[in-house]
Amino acid sequence: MRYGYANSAVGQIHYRELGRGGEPLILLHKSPSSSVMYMTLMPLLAEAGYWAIAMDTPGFGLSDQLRERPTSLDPYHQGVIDLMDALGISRASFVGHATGASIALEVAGRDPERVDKLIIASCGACENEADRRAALAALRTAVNPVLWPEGVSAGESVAIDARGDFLVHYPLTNLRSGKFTSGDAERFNAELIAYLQALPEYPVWVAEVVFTPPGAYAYFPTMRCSTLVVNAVGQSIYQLTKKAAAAIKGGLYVEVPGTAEFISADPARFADIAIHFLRTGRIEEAQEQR
Amino acid sequence: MGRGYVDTEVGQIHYQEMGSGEPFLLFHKTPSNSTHYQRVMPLFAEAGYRVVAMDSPGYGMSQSLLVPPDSMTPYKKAALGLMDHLGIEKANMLGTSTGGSIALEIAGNHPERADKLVIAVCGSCETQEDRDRIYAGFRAARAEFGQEMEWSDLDARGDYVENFIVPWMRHHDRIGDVDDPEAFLVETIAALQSLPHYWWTIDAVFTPPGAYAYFPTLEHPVLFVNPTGSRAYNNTKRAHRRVKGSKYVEIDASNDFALLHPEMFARIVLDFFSETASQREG
Repeated sequence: MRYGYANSAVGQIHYRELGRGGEPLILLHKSPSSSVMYMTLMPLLAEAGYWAIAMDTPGFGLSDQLRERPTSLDPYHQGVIDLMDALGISRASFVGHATGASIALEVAGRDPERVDKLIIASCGACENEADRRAALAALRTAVNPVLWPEGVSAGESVAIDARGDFLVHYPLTNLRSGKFTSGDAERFNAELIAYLQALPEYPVWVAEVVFTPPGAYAYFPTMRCSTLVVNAVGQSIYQLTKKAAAAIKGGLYVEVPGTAEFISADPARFADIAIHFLRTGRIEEAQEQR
Repeated sequence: MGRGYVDTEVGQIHYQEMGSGEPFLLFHKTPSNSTHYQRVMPLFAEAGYRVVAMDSPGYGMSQSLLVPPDSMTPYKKAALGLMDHLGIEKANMLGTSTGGSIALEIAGNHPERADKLVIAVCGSCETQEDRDRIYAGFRAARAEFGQEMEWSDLDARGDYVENFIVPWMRHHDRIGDVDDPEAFLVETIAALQSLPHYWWTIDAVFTPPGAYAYFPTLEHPVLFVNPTGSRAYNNTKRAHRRVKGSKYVEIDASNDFALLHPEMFARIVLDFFSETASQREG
């Protein structure tokens, strides 16, 4: 694994990469987290001949936080384009998970010539206000009721203290909520670091723009790239992801077991599905569970 | 503030950089990383220095060594590789604890690469007895917060955070009772990043005779900064006595002074630099 920075109009963008020389495949993470969520997937993609590039979204990992609060996905889109330019990549395939999916869809919608194939693993895009309320409710229940109690908007930052009491509420509650079932201590520690690196602005900045309607629904009717949606049955935005898949014209859809951590819980399964799709533009019969 | 990576013979090294002018390298203590200096870096940059803070191998985002080192040599190689890549032939160097041992390793072996030295906490042990005393101190500190755990005892539920990391961060020789959430967060992230190889550097630093091998012949201007709350207080004092002509300042602070008292610390360092410069001119 190698690491680097690209200079961007939205600050320094940090990334990790493996398999340079292969076909470029850009991996965009969910929030919180960072490029570290792909640490176990990347070797499998590189082995299959892909140049796996996982970017830290601005404000996460070691990428600079945005200078001001975003009102749209614009600055995140800009970060991806600048990273591609810095690496000399004119066109790439993408994997995006949740927030990462919304960013990838933003690139596909606005710069279709830069996107080859697109794999959406969880999609938080909201078509309307009802979707948005449902998304926030799902996150409150599934992710962290302490962080987002009823009546508190997604616009509240995590309050950190000087005694470390906040660590129990965030991120330990999230990380212990059953999503991490692998028992892999090193993965746990890596994810814990990523959650802390997202402070103090998470969940405010990204969550608000991801859930703002119509989000990627503005692009769905006209999207031209070949798209696969992979949905985990146990994740909080399962319904939203399913709805998005149905709205993407000509898109393929697969359901897999697992939670929002399904990629790191079973990287081999996800790699199989992704690689088959990237190579053939199709899904295997055995993978179809619609 | 710019960040970057360079390739060295001990792997990819991550660093932060700020300002322009006379080069000034910062090496952190264990377990921490270059963010330990995020509050003093702007003060040095404003004073006209090109400040570069390195993540030591195995800390922050720098690649870990493959095997436990038996000396400070690999850390020195990382620093020299960074200097070469940045086109820095000679630099002022500041090191806290482990970082001080890195700076002294460079000054001792490659005197032409180092200019003025600020050694803030010197853990070097002249003899095995010194080393035993320091390790007894570590054990006593752990007993204070009821800990038997080793740094390598990670688990997949984060119990190690509550049982070990948090009590240790609250200990009086660290962030302690200071109401500084940002400092707490920065140092917690750095500590988590150092797992599970925390002891590797410690063991190399405290192996006798450490920097005592270089003290008799050291010709650089040296300032020792000694926080009274440091477990290595006596070591730092003794090191100062062994380096002929070295300056010495005691401060009323814990080991995290660079983060908790940046103005005071920067003033001490910059005063030393300007004093040395005027002596040279005189």
